[in-house]
Amino acid sequence: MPGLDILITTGYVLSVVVLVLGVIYGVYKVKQSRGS
Amino acid sequence: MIDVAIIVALLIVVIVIGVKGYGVSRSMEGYFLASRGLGAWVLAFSFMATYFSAASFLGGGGTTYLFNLGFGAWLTAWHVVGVVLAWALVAERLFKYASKTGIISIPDFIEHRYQSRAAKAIAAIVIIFLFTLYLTSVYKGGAIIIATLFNVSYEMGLLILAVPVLIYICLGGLRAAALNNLILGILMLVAAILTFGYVMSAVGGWGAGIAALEQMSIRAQFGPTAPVMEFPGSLWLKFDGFGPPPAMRMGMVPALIMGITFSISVAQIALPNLLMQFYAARDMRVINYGRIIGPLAVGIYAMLMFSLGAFCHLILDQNLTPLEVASLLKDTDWVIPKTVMTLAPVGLRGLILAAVVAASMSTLAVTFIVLSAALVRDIIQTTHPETSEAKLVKLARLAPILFAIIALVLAIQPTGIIVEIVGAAFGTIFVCFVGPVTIGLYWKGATKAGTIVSMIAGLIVGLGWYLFLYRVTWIYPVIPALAVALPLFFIVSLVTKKPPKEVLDVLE
Repeated sequence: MPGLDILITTGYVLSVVVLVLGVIYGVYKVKQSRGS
Repeated sequence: MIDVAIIVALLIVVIVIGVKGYGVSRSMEGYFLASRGLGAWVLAFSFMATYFSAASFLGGGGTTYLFNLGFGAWLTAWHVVGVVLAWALVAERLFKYASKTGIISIPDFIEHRYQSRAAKAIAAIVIIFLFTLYLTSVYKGGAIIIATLFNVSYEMGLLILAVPVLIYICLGGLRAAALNNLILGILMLVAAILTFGYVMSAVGGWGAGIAALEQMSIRAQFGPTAPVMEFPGSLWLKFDGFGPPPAMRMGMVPALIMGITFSISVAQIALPNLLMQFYAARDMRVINYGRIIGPLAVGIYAMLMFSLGAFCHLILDQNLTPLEVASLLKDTDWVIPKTVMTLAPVGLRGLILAAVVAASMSTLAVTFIVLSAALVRDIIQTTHPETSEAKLVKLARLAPILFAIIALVLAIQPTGIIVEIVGAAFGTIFVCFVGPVTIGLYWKGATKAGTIVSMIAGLIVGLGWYLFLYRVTWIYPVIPALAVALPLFFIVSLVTKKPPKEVLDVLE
């Protein structure tokens, strides 16, 4: 992000990436349970 | 007047829900676990609202007024990591274990998993001791806002906050707490959206705010006779930039940021007041849907709130003297309320500040239930097994009143900024339970001796470091406490006798 140093930007990027992965995992588990 | 009316309406609604929950709370399982009947939305929002106390709004929102934005970025990141791990790794295993064994509390889990009443008793005592301390900081956060809005004393603010929560908890148990937490959690999210929106529109958006902060000079005077000091705003944009002056002088700001943010956030995977709610899920579908709703609720709230304090320099400082800026730097809990009072119109202002009261109530409610379970289920019922269930439920309803009185007396004593007290209690509870509960759900090699040693070591090192070494080293107590408690947990477990196979089979 412009103006912010790399370690601060890393924190924000990590937040978004982990949240997206967490939600994708949740959706996968819901679909898996419907299929079983 | 409208602001006050909104908060009064909120208090009435939560009490009414408490009365409605009375019917299902007539057994131990009904009172402590809502008869194991919570749905996904209620459970996910109750998890979020229990975890986020007023500290998340006041301390979490205002702390980057003092710390650089690295604090906000990593507080958000660790929160997301913590909530995703809690729902992905802990929820299912704990729910299934509770369903198979009929356990009610976290010390119940420890007794069954490690076949040890001693470990259960220590867990219950740790819960009672640390959560009572933690309650005092939750009370403080909510009472400050109520005292300001109602124009009453801080002590009266404490009472206004305490009484409605006690009414609905005593009547409705976890059912009332969780239903209220759904409403209160949604209110907190709405307030976070509004606060973020007002701050961002006042500074011209995220990018313009960063650019303005870079150009700004922040003037502070740490005492009436001290010289006025000037700090470039660019210090708030660097990870090793601004922070508490003693930590800055020692070059410890990055380590302090990582220590505090990690301790507060990752605690979600081991806090008994959060984990016990997983027992109350209606079925596995609730856990599966919770894996989507839970991380979204916590993650969105964290992203909206935790970086606002730095931008508040652009809004507040022009109308403050350097002495007042220094005062806010010392107690950042006031940054968000002052900003909201400056920017938001009457009505919406009350709605936003009601969220602080909501955050306090939702955390208090479930924490009272966990304390009540530790006293009544884990200590009284264990030592007096002949006590009838009806009598135990009566005691369970009365126990929160006892804990409220103790916490209120402690809350009247002057204390430091909210986020740090919460961090100390939170962090130590996390250290005490992460091995025995979270790791114990997966590692069959964990033993009762490892569990007992780990809990005692975590408690002593966590609190001892906070009291005697934290302000000397600026290393947050959770790090050394974990460094002692976890190796002890593994080493002692490896050399002591494991529980019987039939117990370990429950873990599969």
